Amino acid sequence: MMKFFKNILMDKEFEEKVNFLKSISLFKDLSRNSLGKLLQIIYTKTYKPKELIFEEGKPGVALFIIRTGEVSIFKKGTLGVEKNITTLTEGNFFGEMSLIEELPRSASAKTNKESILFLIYKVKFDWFIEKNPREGLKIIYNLAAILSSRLRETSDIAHK
Amino acid sequence: MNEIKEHLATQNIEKFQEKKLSKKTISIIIFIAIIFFLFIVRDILIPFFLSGFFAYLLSPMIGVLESRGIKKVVSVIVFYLLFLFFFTGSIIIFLPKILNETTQLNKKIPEYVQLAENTFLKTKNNLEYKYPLIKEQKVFDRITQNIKQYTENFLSKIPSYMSEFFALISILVLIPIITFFFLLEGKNIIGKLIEFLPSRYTETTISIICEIDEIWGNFLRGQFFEAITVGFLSIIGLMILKIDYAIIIGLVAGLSNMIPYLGPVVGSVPAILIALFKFGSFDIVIKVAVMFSIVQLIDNIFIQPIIISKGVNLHPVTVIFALLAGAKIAGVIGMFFAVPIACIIKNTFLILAKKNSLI
Repeated sequence: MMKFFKNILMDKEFEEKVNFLKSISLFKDLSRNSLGKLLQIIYTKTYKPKELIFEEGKPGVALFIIRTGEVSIFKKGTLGVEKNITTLTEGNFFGEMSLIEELPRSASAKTNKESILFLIYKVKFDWFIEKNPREGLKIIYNLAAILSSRLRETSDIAHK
Repeated sequence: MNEIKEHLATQNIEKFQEKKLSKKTISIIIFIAIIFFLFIVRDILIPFFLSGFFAYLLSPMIGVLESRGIKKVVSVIVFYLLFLFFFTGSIIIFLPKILNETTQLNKKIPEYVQLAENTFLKTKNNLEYKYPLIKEQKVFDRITQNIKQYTENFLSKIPSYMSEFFALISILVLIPIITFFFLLEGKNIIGKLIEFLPSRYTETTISIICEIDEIWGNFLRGQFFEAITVGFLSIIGLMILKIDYAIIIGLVAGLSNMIPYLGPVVGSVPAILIALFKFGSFDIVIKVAVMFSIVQLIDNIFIQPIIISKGVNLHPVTVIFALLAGAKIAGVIGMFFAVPIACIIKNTFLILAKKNSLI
């Protein structure tokens, strides 16, 4: 009987999405309820293979999370030759700096195969923080930790 | 050979630019056509606007259930039924009182008119006796004529107001239905737009839509909360001062408070007039004015800091201009929607100015 009502009332996709978000380092330590609130500001878009997601130099206003598929982050050289920086897969995210400030993108992104991406817009995220400061603080803290570790990695590479 | 290659390349660039230009022209034509179409059917847009207002009002509550994993359709139905229950409940409780006050007010109007005429005549005689120049210039006669003309004009329009009343009934039936679908499909509309738009437009276009969505949502919810608080406080204040028709006047004060600057003044006028008619002294006028000032003070100090969002950030002169333009275009309804529309225009321009390279 309980299962019957659960099937009628509860959203199956919700559970899947919340479990997926739980696995992402940016949303570490966020409760199920907080992730549920975050889902309210997330949009989904399906990209075709080799589709350009954003271009280097253009202002960024959204964070992208790869739900399924594969994305290449690349920079164009002086002769127009694409130089691959990294390849990201399911559960990875990119464009996170746009949640803090709307600066031009430092690299371009395109899909390698058909990909489903989650999009979080800065404007929605700002309102989310204003309405849910505890959750917002946790995300910003996680973001700071991720950026700090990336900075350390870059300095190590530069040092070597 | 090289010249031919160069020539072909130039031709290709020209063709590409022409294609881009024609695409832009088509987009502009479509946009103008949509605006023109909306202008033609503007009379039937009211239920859609009001449904949008109610949808914005209820959507955060639906979000609460949705964020706990409950299906959207179930969340919408639950809150919809709850809202209808409270709405119908408050109508059942307040409607007899409002109707009672309206009937009493209707009966009293001839008495008030007589009283107003007497006071007017008394003041006229007093002033004309003290300052004969006023009599010579026929100042009062001209005022009387203007008032008569205005009243006749208003009364002649009453039959058209009655026909609008029936239109209102059909609107009242339509609003719950449209609101239901707005609540159910609201977020999906943006989601479908994201899927439909080419990826190079996704970021900027959806960012603008998200910003508009947030501005509208916060502004409308804030206005509604503020109107209810001001209305409720005014009713309490008027009851303490023993002013008749406290509920009707309080409702008017709450609703008119949604119009910046002008609203609070307009809202206090009926209360001052009724108080003046009932008590016939200027002491009560001061008391009513003080009471409304206290309500405004509470609104400014405690309510507005909570509800005024960062999106609604317009210069006072812009607000006044927007209000006047709104009044000119769509009367009182135009005044209600003037500020959020001005905010949307301002923010859209700011975003486009920042990202002109993307569009």
